[in-house]
Amino acid sequence: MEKNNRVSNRQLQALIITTSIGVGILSLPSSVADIMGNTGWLAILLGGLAILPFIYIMNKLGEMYRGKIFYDYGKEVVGNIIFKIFSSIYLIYFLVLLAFIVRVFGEVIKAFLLDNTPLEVIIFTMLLATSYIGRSNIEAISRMALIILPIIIIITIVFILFSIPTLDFTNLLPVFQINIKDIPRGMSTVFFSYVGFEIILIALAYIEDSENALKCSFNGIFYTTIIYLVTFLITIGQLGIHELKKQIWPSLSIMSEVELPGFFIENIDGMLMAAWVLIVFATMGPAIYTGGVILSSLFDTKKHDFFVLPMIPIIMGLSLIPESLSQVYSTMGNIVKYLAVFSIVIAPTIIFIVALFKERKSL
Amino acid sequence: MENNIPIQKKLDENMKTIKEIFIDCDDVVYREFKVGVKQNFSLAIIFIDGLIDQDMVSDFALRPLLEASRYLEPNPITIKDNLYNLIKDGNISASEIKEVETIDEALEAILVGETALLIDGYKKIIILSSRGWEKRSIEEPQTETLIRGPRDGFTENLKTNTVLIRRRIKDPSLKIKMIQVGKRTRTDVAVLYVDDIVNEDLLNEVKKRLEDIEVDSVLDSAILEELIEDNYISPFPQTENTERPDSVSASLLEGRIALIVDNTPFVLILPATLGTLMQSSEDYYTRWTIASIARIIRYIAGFVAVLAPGLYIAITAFHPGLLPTRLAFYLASTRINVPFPAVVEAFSMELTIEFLREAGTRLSGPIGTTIGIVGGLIIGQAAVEAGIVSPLMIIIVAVTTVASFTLPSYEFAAGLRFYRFVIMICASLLGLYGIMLGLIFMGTHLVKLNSYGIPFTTPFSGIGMATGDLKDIIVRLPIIRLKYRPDFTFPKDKKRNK
Amino acid sequence: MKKYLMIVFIILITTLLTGCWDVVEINERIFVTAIGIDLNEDPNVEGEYLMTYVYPNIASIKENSSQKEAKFVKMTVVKSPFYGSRQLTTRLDKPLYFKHTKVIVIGEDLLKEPDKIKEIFDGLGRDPRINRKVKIIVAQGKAKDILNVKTEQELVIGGYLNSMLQNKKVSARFTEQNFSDLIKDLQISKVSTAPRAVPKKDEFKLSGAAILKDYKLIGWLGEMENSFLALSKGEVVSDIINTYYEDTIISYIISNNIANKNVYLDKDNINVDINIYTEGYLQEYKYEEDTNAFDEEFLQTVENRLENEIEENLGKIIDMFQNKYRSDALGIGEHISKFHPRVWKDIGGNWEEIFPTININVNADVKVRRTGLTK
Repeated sequence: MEKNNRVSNRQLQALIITTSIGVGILSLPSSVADIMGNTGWLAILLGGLAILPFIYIMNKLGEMYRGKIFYDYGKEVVGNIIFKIFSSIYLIYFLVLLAFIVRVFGEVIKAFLLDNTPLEVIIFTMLLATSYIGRSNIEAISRMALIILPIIIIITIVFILFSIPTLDFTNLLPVFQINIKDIPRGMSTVFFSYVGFEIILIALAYIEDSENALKCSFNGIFYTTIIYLVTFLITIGQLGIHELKKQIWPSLSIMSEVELPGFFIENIDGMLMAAWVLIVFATMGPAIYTGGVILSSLFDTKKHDFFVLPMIPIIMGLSLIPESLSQVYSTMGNIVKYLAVFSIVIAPTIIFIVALFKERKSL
Repeated sequence: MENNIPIQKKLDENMKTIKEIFIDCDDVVYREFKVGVKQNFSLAIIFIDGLIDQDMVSDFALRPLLEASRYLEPNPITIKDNLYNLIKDGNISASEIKEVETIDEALEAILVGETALLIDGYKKIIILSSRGWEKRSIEEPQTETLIRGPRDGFTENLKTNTVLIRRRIKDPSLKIKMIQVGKRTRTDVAVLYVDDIVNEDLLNEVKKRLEDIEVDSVLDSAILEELIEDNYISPFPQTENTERPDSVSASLLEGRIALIVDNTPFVLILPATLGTLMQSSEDYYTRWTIASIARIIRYIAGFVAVLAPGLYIAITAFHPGLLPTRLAFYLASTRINVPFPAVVEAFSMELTIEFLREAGTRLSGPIGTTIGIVGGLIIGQAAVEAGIVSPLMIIIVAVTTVASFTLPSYEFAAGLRFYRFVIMICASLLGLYGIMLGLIFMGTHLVKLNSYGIPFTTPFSGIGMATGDLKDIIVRLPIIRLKYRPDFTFPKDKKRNK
Repeated sequence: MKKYLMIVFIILITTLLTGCWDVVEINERIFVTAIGIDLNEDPNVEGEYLMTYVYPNIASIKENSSQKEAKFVKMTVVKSPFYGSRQLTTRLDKPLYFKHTKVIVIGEDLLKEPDKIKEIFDGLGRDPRINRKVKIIVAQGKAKDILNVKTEQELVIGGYLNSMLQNKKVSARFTEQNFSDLIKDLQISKVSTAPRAVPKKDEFKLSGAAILKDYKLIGWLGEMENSFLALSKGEVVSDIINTYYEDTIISYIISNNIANKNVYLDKDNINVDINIYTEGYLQEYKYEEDTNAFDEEFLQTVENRLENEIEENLGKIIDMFQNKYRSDALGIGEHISKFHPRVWKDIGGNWEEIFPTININVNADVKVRRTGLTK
């Protein structure tokens, strides 16, 4: 009733986990192994730690401006004009991010499930499906996240259990054969996989229990890191370091190697693909919602749902620009990385510092 | 009957007014008496034959009145006072007696089954409570039978129904408020709640919605349901309905609100969530291990009911790689000479089952069951032997139908049925990916649904997870462990046993 | 609002109903269960590879089927292996489906050309339709001969070859190898083995293995050699070793096999200890009144004999690998690379030269736990 539009702590945690685990999880083991070899797990751990300060900043900002979303109080802090520029950059970031995600998603589906269906159809239908939830409010999105989370966790556990017999942990050796200089490069690759949790900039405004919000956010990142670590360990255990470097999507190739005793379902890759659709949806839904909210704050409207549908053709157009998958990862991937740095690191930090000054001034 | 026609002093005028309004209502009975020493003073009673308890009116109200007023002065006030005295002294045992000042109220009273007593020269009409009519006796509810548990079910009579609840909750905090809805039908609705458990906001919201109703007729609780629920477009119900008083009582004690509607044995319970729609009172009357297993099976059945035909289409037509090799080959062999693609097979068999289901509903009793068996068996068998349909399809369709009947709530199963078709269509277009899209769509819809302000997917999506509501949703832990009321109703009093 | 919805609806309908692109009825597919690749020897036909596809006759699976053929075999000559499925569309009425392919048989002559093998392996790795755990078999001779054999008891389902490969539970005379492991071994130690299939008149044998080095076939392993090699890797599930006691053959069945390696350096050289541990029971001795196999001393002697047997035979095999083939099929290089990375950094580049010079000792520890039902 009056508890409407509130996000509970569990939901916040679930939001962080489900939005971060997106397209990154497919290629992460391979890209990090490319740079850091067997010790890739170190980069994953450090990457997770590196995210924490920014989560802290976002939480603190949420605390200072309780009840207002980032895109509203940002105007107060740095002034309307500058913030409109910030918002526009955010908007472009989300549009490109969504285009990237949906393109990779479409390619994966085409490779593993639907060979002959045109890419455009896959992309369009996915965008339509996510636009439905993009048009609702943050409460629906958090509920959805909380429902999808157990599915992801169960799939991970199933994944682990069935891979264990054929895993060869000696593949992790030798450890620590790396150049210290490679660590930052490894971390930056990992950082990109955590992208997606910017939704908390909006969700924190509706949080129910503000005292524990910070702890839950940290927990969210913690679990995400664990899931990434596990994925890395399993893929390297199954494939060995050489093969791992060669695979584009090692996490998926692994699935086809799992042999279920009892033979009820032989190729679990089908099941994993189904869960994969949910995982990507959990990342895209909040992203398209945020895009709509940004547009609504830019144009000063009350509701954001009007803006969601028009975004679809833009995102679709963007996603079809790169001509090949490698171009997607290289060109588009780099653009997303830079924009992500802006949206997670630069903008919140600037706003935080300026907000702190303002507070000091008014004291 | 909009106007507030005042009551005239003269009996004849009033009688004329009333007879004009009730013209052509031949079941209205008018009886006039003369009382008083000189028999020159008129009284009249008006009632509708069949709606009143004849004995009560003639024996308990009229006779003492007539006897006592033989000796009275022809003074309306005296007569009226006398009447009240008679009641005070206990000669008339009418349990309710009141006065009304407009013709409308009198007419309303007559229509409800009370008797109007007009006294010549007196400007008010006296209403005697006299309701009594033919009603069904209490029987076992037909739609919800249990192996173990009480066998009394609600009837169409509001009073009987409220009594069934009163007998179970002997607590003064059980409140029963009466409201009337529907301009012409003036259906009585009783709002039941336990005052020190229920949440105020919820109660006020419900009351407001009831008061906002502006329709002609509310003939059944289903119509009421549609008028007050959050989203009537959705295929899923947001209000539970039941014929069982024990379900209602248990729900009231959880902080929910019950609406008993006159003339229907189906009582509404709100708010309803996904978790509660999957609960059945039988779970509490059997041992907890069995009940927990039964609940888990219900959830699995729910998934099967929605996904099975879609999965069949997706896997055979799009991704046979998902099947174990032997099964794939076997399936292929069974479909060799089948002329239709899997999609057509699936849709036509589903359609046939829907026909059977509808036919079964129309025909009740022995004919209905026979049709079910005959139809199912023979059509299925013949189809397989003719080679039109593959046997696996028949099995899937049959299992799906049976699975959807395991769900306690018929309306919820109907909602799932709707989505089953949606998912079949999605599966035929885009295979497994299509199914996932369909599920996403359904999931989003469920997640956005609210039941009187409470999120529909509640036990699974936030409220209550922290306090362990799942203990009573997915499994059923022993009663001792269920110390707290579920969270989703935001009850005032959380602890169940003190 | 309503108009809006209508427009969305129309867009939906037009997009989605334009076709179900991927729908193929399950009985309209050809499930290829085995693929064979050979070099094409017929100069009249253009193309370098001879591809053989085996698929079951679906109609014969039904219970009262009158079909006698359990499987079909189709061959075609192509320029590149993955063109085969396309070329066959000129002769088959249904599309080929590879998700249930279990076995790939490679012809011996093809393995003499490493470049072609590299092409094939690359293609297999890239193709999402072929499972990475598909089993690889090397044919002594031509792959098509193996696949064309009409075995008497034709098990269509899963394929005869696949079922045979699962027989490793009974013997270690061949060790199955799948594509993913093959690639892994070839990359790390440059050497790998794959089971060898030998065609005979009405059947074929899976015996021993083919030794592959640098994507080339360099030799064969006999059945016994294969089984000892498997012992050294701890891969034996069940096998028999025979030895002599006085002049009777004693058969010992291995039920459990663990092996590990120990690498240590002294100033001149690298030394490797291969420790093999087996558990098993006695199967056959000699039936006489006074024989007592239940006696501890007797068992000790038997165990010693068996240990010698293993050490000698394995020694011969190691010798062969070190000197004749100069290839590390035992996985020693891999072990060093993981457990002694600094050493590997120095010698890894020259492993092919260094391997023949290292000292390899075999220590076998045999335990006879049981003697069956009789003493």
